[in-house]
Amino acid sequence: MEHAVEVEAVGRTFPISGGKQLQALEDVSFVVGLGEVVGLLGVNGAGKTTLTKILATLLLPSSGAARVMGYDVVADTRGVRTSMSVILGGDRGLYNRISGRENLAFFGMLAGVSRRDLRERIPLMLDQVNLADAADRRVETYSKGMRQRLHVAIGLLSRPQVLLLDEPTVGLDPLEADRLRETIHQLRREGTSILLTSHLLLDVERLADRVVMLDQGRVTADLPLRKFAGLAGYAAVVTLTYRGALDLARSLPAGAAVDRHTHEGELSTLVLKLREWSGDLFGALGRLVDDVQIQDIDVRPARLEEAFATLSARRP
Amino acid sequence: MTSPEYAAERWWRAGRIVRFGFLQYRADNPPRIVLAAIWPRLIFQTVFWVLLGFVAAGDEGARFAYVGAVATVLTLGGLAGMSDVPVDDKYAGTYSRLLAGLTPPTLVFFGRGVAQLAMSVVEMLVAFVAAGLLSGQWRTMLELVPLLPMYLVIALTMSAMGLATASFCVGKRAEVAIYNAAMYLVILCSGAFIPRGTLPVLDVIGSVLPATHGLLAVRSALADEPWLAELSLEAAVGAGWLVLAFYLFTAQTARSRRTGSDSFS
Amino acid sequence: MLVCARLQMAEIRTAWIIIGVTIFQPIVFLLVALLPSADRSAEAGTRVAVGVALSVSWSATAWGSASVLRRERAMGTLARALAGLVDARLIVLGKGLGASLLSTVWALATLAVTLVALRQPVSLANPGWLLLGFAVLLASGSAVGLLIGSVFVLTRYGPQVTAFLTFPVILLGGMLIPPEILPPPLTWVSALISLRWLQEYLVTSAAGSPNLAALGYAVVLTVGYAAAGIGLFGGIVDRSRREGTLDLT
Ligand SMILES: Nc1ncnc2c1ncn2[C@@H]1O[C@H](COP(=O)(O)OP(=O)(O)O)[C@@H](O)[C@H]1O
Ligand SMILES: [Mg+2]
Repeated sequence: MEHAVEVEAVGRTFPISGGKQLQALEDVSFVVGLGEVVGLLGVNGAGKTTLTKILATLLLPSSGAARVMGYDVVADTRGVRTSMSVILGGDRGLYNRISGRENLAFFGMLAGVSRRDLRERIPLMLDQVNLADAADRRVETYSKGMRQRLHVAIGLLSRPQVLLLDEPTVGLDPLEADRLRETIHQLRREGTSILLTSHLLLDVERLADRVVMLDQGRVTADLPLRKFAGLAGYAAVVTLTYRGALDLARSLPAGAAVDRHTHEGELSTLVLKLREWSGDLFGALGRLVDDVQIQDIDVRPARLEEAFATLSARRP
Repeated sequence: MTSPEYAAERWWRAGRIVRFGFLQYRADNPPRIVLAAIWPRLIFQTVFWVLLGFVAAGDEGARFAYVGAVATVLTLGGLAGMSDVPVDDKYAGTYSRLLAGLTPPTLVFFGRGVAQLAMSVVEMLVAFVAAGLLSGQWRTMLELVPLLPMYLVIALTMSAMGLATASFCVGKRAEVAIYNAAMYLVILCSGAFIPRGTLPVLDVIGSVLPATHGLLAVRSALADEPWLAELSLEAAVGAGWLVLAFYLFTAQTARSRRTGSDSFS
Repeated sequence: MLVCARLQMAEIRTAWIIIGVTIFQPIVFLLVALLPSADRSAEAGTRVAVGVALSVSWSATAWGSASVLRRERAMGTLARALAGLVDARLIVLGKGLGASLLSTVWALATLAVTLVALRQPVSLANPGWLLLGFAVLLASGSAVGLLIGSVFVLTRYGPQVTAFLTFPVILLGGMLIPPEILPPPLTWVSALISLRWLQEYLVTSAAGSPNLAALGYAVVLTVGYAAAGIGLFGGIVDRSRREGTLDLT
């Protein structure tokens, strides 16, 4: 066996109103190599969660076959469940009135972690996701990020060989999202095979070796990250509303490009595209706007749609 | 792992699941609420039934109602309360985690139901003693002490029906109404307050409900008559509900894997 | 009687409890009170029917107010409503009245159907006087709703507390259980419950000679409840604001 995950011509339909069928996945094939991190990108509704659920044995495929560590997801659920962990995004999926530690222990036990492992690994995992201090508090007192990290701890407790992550950073503030990415990064160094789902380029850029794009249930691209990264051409968009005058020609930092610059009465709006998501660049931006009066700043990571638009535009 | 180790690990898992049921029970019903609201309410309820029996049929009516009221205490924790077991997962959105686990969700639900069962027995004993004293039924109460194991059988049957009801009403909006119906059905048809033979429809429905045969056994034993047959019937009714619950939960699990629209979450 | 106090309190759908209360409860109470009894005269039938109607109306009112408050709380409008104090009381009073009215009508309909099915005679001598009695019942119910509302402002375990509150009143309110058979100290408590006097008034009205003194007592008690409710609700909101214990989530 040379692949951690093998997806072969998987299709999945859902019955919808009027007796029709919705084709959520169609003829999807790709692999995740051992120790490889693959980013599964797609806009909302592309079929990412459906695929993740099929691989996690939570949903049966309508056609095709899939294997995790060589175990068939339909016929050999026990094998799949022992070697894989799934972390579904969002802040639900935890018992709110129970402490984080008890949640972790319960789900770990269900995932087949042995008594001894459970005792040893729970403190370790809590430390690793930075929840040791909050472990005995009820989950309802946790922030979104803390819940998400608890999900990660639950997923990692059983030391899975394969990890399925569905939109792990959704709903997190940038700091929390970064912390989570760091945890995933560490797993990658430890050799865990990961299938990571996201609609954020940033997640994939930071973490993946390879990118698979899903569009309306079909694979539209399967590229190494290096090739993919260049497609969007930028990593973030900054929208700045301010009063005063800016000397862009003189002080625009390297790595930032002006997308739009408009003036309306006293207020000006500047839209910048940043080539990378780095502290240095943000620092330079800060210095750029030192002399003007800021009304509003909005920073958002480049979205898949934008990369996808570029990708489609460049296709012959 | 060698097989004794494997068996030990299994028991440990079962213990963890049961223990988690108790944790959830305590989270949903903190001790101060149990002591200040749930228990007093059950005591008042039992006293009420006894007095109503007295109003309707004098001292004999009161005694009859007390014997029945003790069993109907179980409808709160054992029947309606059992719905907390899967409902907790519904509200928490944890069902997919249970589904992805190695222990079948049905067994997880059954294991966590043990806490509800145990607490319903505690509630019954509290009401048994407190309401027995408050309503002047202490003599009947003393006579019933040796018969408490029979009530334990009723508690098991009640919980089995609770599990079955929980499995098919979870996910439907009407769950509370279904529970109401089930509770009132048991109160009405089990012969707890309305003697058998009063209204034949009630008897027919009652024959497959918890408490009906168990109470007949208790009343026979109080009258020094044979009771074993009725108690066995009670156990059989319980087994029937348990099998139904097992089937419904297992079917639910299979269905959610097939359709992806898990009724539990 | 209530029922699923233990389904998740936060998300509990009290509306469904009210359906249980207004449909199943009257049937069960009526059958349990009537069937084992030897006395199936029209007088006995009327006494039991009025008793059941009042008991059910009371439980439904309690749950009705509970559900109004719960919904406000779930939608996050409770905190806002509380910001303008007088408003909050009016909201609770008004919605409580609506809930009371609706559930009393339901309960009476269920009751009528059950009585017909049982072929149980009842006497209905003075429809006008009876209606007056039910009007006071509704007023009484909304006033008590305000008292119960205070509980919901205070605790997230409102359903359990409401469930606890309903039974003592059914037990002591002289509706299905005559106050005479209660131990003497409890008879006093019973005299403070407006339902006890409404029961007396309604049963005597149905028999043709309304006991107006009983109705007077009920009105006085209702005014007392309303005053207490307005005071307590405001007091609790003020206090919990000061102490930061307002449990609004
Ligand atoms: N259980 C279901 N029943 C019907 N349609 C579903 C179900 N689950 C997903 N879908 C549909 O399948 C498509 C893919 O959904 P999903 O896998 O959740 O997308 P993504 O995770 O990429 O946003 C969507 O159109 C969605 O509406
Ligand atoms: Mg998704």
